Amino acid sequence: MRVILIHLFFIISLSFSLAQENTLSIEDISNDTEANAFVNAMDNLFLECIKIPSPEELEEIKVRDNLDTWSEISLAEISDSLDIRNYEIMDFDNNGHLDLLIRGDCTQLLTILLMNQGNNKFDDYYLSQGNEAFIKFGQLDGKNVLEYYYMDCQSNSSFQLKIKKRTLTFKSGRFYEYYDQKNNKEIVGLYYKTTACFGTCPVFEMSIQVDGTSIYKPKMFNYKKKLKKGEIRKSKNERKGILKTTITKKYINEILDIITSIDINDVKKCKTTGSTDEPNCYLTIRYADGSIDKISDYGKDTSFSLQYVYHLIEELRYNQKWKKSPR
Amino acid sequence: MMKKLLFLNILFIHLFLKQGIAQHTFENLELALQNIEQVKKLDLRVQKINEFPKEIFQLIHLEELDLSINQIRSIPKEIVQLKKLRILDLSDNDIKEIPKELFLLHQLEELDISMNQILELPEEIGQFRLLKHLDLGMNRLETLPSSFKELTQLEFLNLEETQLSDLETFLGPFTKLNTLHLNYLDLEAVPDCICEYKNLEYISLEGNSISDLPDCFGSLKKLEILHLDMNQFSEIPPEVRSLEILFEFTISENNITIIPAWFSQLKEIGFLFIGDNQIKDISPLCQLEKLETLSIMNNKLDSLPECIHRLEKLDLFNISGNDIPQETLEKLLESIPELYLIAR
Repeated sequence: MRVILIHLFFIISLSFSLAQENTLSIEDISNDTEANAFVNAMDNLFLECIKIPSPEELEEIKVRDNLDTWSEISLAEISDSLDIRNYEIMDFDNNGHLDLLIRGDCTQLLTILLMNQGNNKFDDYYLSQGNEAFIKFGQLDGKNVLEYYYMDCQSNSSFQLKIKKRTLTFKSGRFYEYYDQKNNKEIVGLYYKTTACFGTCPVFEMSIQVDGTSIYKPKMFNYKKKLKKGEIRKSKNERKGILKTTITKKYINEILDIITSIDINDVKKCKTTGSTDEPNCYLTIRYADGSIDKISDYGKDTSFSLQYVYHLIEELRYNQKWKKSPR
Repeated sequence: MMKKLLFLNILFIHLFLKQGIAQHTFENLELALQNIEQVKKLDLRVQKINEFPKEIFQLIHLEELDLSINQIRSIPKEIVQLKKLRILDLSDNDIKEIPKELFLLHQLEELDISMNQILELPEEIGQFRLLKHLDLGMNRLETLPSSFKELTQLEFLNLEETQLSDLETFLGPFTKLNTLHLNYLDLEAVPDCICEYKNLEYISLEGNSISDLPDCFGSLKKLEILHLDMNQFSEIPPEVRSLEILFEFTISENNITIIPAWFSQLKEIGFLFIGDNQIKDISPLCQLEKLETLSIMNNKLDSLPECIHRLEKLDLFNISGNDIPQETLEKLLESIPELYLIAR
């Protein structure tokens, strides 16, 4: 059996704020079949194909627990040990409407949170893809959170299946990891670099100083115009060379606030690299004391918080006035 | 004595604070309206604004206004009230028409109205005698008014991805121009008048149907950046040979078969894109020791010259879509360990 841990976990999306309509009601769900029917009734091709796995099917999906000894553990066994259910219902965002957390199969296992906005409108959050994450509702200091259990990554020399837990908090439509240990060191600069993928992923480098002065080096597939919804790209009008700008303090602070909320040691862990089709990205954080932290993130899926950091940095390619740098 | 010192201290703090506020860029309209006297810069980009906020017209000291990346459909005539405006950015909105009143802002030095739906500009544009930076790219303009030629202070001009043709008719004596973007205009030839723009440092002519450059092109001695991608060049134009300080040169997606020997004399080149051509040998590039980024993807290379190892500054090398043996690539990575090689 191929090692199943290809990715630590892969987040399809932090948030799709698309409204989903459904004529059924979450209040009426009382078993797996009804939960499945509810999701399938959504006006969304992806959700329509979701199928909650039976206990037998979950039993059949197995992960290898050790590189040397080759024993296997079923997903059913892991789920039972963590008290993970196929679906859970609660008013997660306290807006007076019940939300649905559901795990189902649509070519591979997915965990999705359908956040009920009332009037049959739902926001869908794809929280994990693959067998590697187990998610349930939880509580932290009286607030609703998600308990996110994932299989720790393998190192090159040895591998032992280890389930780890993160806590996800929800703020302004996004999930973030919650850490007791914060990154308290004073940050003086960031360096972000992306690499190519099997496709047209943007390849670029960007260095950002805390005073806002920034250098952008687009290498490939960095278009001048960001397409609006429904718009088709008419030309390959790309940015090239070396560009500079000064980013506003407010924007820099938004990025730094997220980075300082992260336990860097937790997200710096090794990652699996079973596939090479995904883009890689590297984030280097420079501190006032001269030290640095380097995060290498194949697939850009190490953490929810970091994923938003990447998003904010990548958006800078479009929302800043980049000027050609004099040599 | 003490009183004097106290007075000086108070004066200093007052001036310091005033200066501090004056230099501050307001990113919130409400806050700006509470500080009307101090607001010189207002940055409201990417705020999902779908109507030009008329409250802005109260900010009579405003010098810089950025409303880019919103969904604004029109510019109110009251814009004329912002008499001190020097920089106006309305790029990436849904504006179809520019009111004549805008052109009464005689202090305007920078105007960016790119990425809109603008069909035409009024004749009054010629009144912008101080205008240095004009970005009209990605609009639906088919023609420009005859007064356009009077914008002789222009240093930056972008006309890319418009419907403009017959550029010679519009381009004036823009001798101060240092940046010119003429991408995706279906040009079959480079307008000769460009050779008069001796201060040009950056010109991009991507996505046209150009097959050669005018003889005089080599006289643009200040040119550092030249983009000729997606044209009809069957050779690297010989005029490029005279561009001694050229730093960034892109000529991908043409029909080039040979890199001429003289190309090795362009010692300042740091950034070279020659992908999607028919090139079989890149030996002349070995002399370009300042090369940092090189893309020769999708050419006809089946080997790399031994001398390629001299390019020690190279940090990105895209060689994908060729037929280079794995062994050669491994050797290259050994000699330039920091190299990011794209080879699949």
